Amino acid sequence: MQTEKFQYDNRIVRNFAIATMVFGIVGMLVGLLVAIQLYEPAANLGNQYTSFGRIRPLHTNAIIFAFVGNAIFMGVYYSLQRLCKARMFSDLLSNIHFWGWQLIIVAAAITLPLGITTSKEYAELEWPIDIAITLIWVVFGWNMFGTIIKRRERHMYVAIWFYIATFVTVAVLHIVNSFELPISLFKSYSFYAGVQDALVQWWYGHNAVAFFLTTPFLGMMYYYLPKAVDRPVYSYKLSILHFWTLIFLYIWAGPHHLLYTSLPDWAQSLGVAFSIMLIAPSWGGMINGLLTLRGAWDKVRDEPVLKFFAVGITAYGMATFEGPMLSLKNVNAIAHFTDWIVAHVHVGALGWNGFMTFGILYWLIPRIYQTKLHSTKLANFHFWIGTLGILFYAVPMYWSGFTQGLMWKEFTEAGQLKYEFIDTTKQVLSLHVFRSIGGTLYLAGTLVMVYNIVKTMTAGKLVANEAAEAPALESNYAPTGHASYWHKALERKPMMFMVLSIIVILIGGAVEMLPTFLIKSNIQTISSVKPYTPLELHGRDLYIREGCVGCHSQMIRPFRSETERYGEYSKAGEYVYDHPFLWGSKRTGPDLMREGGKYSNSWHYNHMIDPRTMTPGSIMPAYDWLAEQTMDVSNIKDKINAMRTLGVPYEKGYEERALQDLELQAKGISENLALEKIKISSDKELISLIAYLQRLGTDIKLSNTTSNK
Amino acid sequence: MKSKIFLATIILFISNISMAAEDTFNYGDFDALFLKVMGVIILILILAVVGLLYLTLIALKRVNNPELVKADEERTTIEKLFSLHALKDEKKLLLDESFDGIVELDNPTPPWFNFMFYTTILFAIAYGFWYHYSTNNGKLQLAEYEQELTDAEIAKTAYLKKVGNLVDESNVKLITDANQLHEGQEIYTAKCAVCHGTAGEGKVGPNLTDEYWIHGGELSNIFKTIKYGVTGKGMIAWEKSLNGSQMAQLASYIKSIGGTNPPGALAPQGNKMEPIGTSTDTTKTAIVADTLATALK
Repeated sequence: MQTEKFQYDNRIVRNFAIATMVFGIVGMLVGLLVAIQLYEPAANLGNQYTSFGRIRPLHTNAIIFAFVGNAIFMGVYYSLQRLCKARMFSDLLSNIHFWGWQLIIVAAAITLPLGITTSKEYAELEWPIDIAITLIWVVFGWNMFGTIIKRRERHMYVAIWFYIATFVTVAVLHIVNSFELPISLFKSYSFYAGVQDALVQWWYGHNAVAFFLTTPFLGMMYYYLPKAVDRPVYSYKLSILHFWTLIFLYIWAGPHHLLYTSLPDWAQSLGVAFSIMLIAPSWGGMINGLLTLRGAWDKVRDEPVLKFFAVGITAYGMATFEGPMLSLKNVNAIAHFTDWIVAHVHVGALGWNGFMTFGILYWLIPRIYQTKLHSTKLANFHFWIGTLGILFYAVPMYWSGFTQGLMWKEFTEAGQLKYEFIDTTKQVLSLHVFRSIGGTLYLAGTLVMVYNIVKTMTAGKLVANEAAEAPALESNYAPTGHASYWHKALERKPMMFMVLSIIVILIGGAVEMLPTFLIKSNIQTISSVKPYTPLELHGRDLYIREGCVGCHSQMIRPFRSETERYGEYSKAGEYVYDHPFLWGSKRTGPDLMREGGKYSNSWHYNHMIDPRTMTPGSIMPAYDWLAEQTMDVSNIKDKINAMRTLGVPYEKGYEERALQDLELQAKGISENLALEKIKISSDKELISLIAYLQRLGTDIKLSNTTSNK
Repeated sequence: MKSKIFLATIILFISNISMAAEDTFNYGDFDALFLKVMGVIILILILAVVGLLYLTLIALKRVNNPELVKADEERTTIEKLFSLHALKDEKKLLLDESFDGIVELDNPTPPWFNFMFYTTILFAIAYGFWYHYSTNNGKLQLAEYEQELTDAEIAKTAYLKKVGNLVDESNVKLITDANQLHEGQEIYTAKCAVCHGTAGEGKVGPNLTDEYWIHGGELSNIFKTIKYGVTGKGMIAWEKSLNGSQMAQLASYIKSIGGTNPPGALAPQGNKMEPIGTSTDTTKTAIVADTLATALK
């Protein structure tokens, strides 16, 4: 057996580590800003580029894809090389991956504040960036499989199983959810409409959490935790069980984001049932992690890395228990659209993703710099202030969530809604102040870490190429002993492992989506629901650009508290022309499903210029620039054509008359406003937004009014 | 056993899909055939995965090391619950392979973990049955909604009977009691002042202090406008958040500020109020016409 000498590439790990820290700080800073905007509208800074609707997606994208994304690549590139006893397959691919990913992040940071967005949560980036993500992801996969194939270790360790599942599933999710029809370089319409779009989006959204925020971190836990604590992994068999069941069950759970909506009942029930079954597979990871610490709890007391891991894994366990509970219909009825959900995701993001990332950074940087951590004291300080930050964040948000959920549903004895929406907004303001304090503490801890890591880096010297040696794998191999266990055979065959993973993850999505899609032509249509007029369509695109969907839902659930407050509950047939759907997932402001005709045009004008004149106490940003900016109607023809391609029944040749219709309708609104002494020319953006808002939900109101007459 | 449970769940859901779907939607012949074919394909795929899972479970069941049985009897409850062996026996559980120095133990999955897993699977099956199969089944969302409305209506009627609070547009009487008018004023300040001005001088909404009324200036007209709102013009229907007596107080307060001529008053809108009541029907016609106009555009 010939021993081969080779070198691990530590430079690429270091690069991803630096990117992790830089974008961690950026993402958290933006997060802090949006948190302050939720109680102090002046924090929108009076311009469109920093208004809540536009930078809230910047925060989520920066944290998920920039901070956590880079952390995944850092963790995978370090551990994969060592678990395969091989250098990364290609340095060129590693570098293309690194720089490509950073360019995507920069593109996101530029386009999102400009309002270039698809509005689909965690998939806001427009089509050219979507393509770039696909290409870079393929580079990552190619590099990863190249490394696995030329490995010098016979079997793939459990960490690698999770990396493989991450790669294949994220690829499938991203591609399917990004089907969109471009109408220009920076604008596209989702291929799917209404209910179908919602189903695809939340199949994606839920599994982005599963396969971007969970599986890669479980894989990293399986490497870094036993390395840091120097203890054997608790159970190999539990690894097998929870890996396969986790990836199989997770993919079904997406519809729990759409309970009580217009999604068909059977799909909702599948979402609930599979979410409940997810508890055990999720906890399998936690148990295997925490029990690996068995017999070494004294080390946890002294070693900050282990403290971060222990709290991170515990946060994972709490969040994955809470998630299934939130999927129960009666809990969801209260929690959905409230701050409870925000609290839930932040326990996961701050506790699990954040703390695991910090632990890995503290462990790995001194090793690749061949030195000791600059200060264990500072790392301990970071741990405590970070934990405190999580508590200060989560507790007020849970409280705020319960408050909102209960106040929205409360009736007086005489059968009337007890509170107006604005009452609930005012009620939770102080809790939002506390939340931002929690966020500040967490950010402060992260800054301390960056200082500590930079000090460590300058004290040591990067071992860019770390020498290692291992015997090559022999080609004729007969498994004996433990290696003859049935699952070991799979661990020797990466390609088969990958194919099997794809099959396992495709099943849930296929069962839920195919029936919902195949019935597209026969979905209960409502004859009075008509396509948007060109002006309304333009206004809808502004609604998307400004990120209104971040705070306003368009989905009235069949509850008395909602139909009394907002009007008739939403029907699936009302959304058939909505590319993309705009149901929203949070009610920082009231639902807008039936906003049309509720207020006068002048009310909307005044409200958009300064929301607080019409609703004292409102925390909505002012949108005064909409009254100054002129509508860009140059591509209205393309929009009509694109919508027709997607199945919206505009009559043949309508695109030629679209502009004329648009101007006519705009003139009508401008004249109507003039009656109330509001002077605004008909070519301003605000006119089209008002037209859209006045249309919302009216198709069905009309039929009700006429039938009730 | 476990695999059967799993299988049952999945078959349940598959057949359920087609059943539920047939209830709600009309399939064309092609769609129906296609769905059936897809159903079969999906079922085969699921069977394959279930088989795999079954194998996993069997494999996991294997007793790992007979030498350890004796030591196991001295374990604490916690250790039993987690299927933990004494730390000193750990060496016997080590698997003979290491990955960059990481070794794994051959511990079985803890029994409570398995119990939890089976329970959740049973729950999932029961859930499906309860909502989609049992004859006396759980209410799906629309049925639940209907029930909620019925219950609320009963409770509301009972309450109103008890308090005798049944003021509506047909019996509303002008209130002159100062305390009650003060309450009307408070409601006005909280809910109306934003649009109609703090003194009723009119802002986005019309002036309430002059003699001109768009939807009628009689007490009952004002009461109705408050109650049902004016769709399309921005006047909210307040019946969802104000009760009959509150609306009576509010309408009476508005009558009471007539002729005060506050500073900055808006120009008159609507018709000059005739001393003797206007037709109530015009209001309703106006609402419907407005809605039609907005929707048709």
